[in-house]
Amino acid sequence: MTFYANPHRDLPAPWKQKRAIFYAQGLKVYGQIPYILQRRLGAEFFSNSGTIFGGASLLTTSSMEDNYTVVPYRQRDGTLHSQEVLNTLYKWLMADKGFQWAIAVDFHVNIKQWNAWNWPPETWIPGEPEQKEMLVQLFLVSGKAP
Amino acid sequence: MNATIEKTATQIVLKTPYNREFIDALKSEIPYTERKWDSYHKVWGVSLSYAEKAEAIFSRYFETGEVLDAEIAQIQANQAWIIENKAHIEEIISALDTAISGYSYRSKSSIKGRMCRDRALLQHSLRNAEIPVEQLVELQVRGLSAAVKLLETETINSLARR
Repeated sequence: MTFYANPHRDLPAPWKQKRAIFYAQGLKVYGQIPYILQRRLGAEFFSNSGTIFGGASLLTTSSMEDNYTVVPYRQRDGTLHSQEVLNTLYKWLMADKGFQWAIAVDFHVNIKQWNAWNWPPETWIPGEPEQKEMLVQLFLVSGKAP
Repeated sequence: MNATIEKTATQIVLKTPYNREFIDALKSEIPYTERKWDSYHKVWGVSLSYAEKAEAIFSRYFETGEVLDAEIAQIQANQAWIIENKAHIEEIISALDTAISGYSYRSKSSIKGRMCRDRALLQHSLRNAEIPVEQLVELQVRGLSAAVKLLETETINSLARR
């Protein structure tokens, strides 16, 4: 199955706030983050709009989540991300209208674990735009809740 | 030649300069059913179930930083090429507009559909060529390279000459 990005939904929009959730295993950002940053962080984009039999699209239901990118707290070899890359991520999150964030009560749920009976947990709690830069940066580096 | 690693819908594609140790590692750590040598493109294809393993072997022998730099250079080259050929692309877009307007608005012709898709791709590439590389998302990066590939085909260029 091939997963596709949606040009109307996944491009960063300067007129609205980005949405992010801090999970135990990584930061989930709705939509796509800039490609070079994505590559430097080893982040992966997940889409719920797939196709079957090479063309027919699977229409997603309104109860499914938007497409998102998962930024892992550690690099593939287990080392921390460099401060420079994290700063770039933070600047991007803060640019334009900033971002709303929430701390997930649960660990990151793999998309492959979902099925008709097992829906993703309700974790999205919209908050105020974050101003405490150091707090979020510490969280990104340590992987612990602020 | 730069080493590249690319994830497609079905496999991981590894394009590397010749390195005996890398090939031996790939052969010993990934079962033969999960890897395939594409002699025409001279690349290794590894199935997605062994993606992490393939990436680990790749990063052991080749610098991923170099790969990313090469990729950034490629994106910038695509952008520069599109800006350079802006007038030609605009000509093709207007030729496509003329051709599309020849069809009924109710037409479900696949040719019309393909022309509409190509037109959108070219129009977006003109806009994305002017966005700084650091701000482009993957969708836009892929669009740029698809537009460059499209403009290399004879069919699309012959439209502008009509």
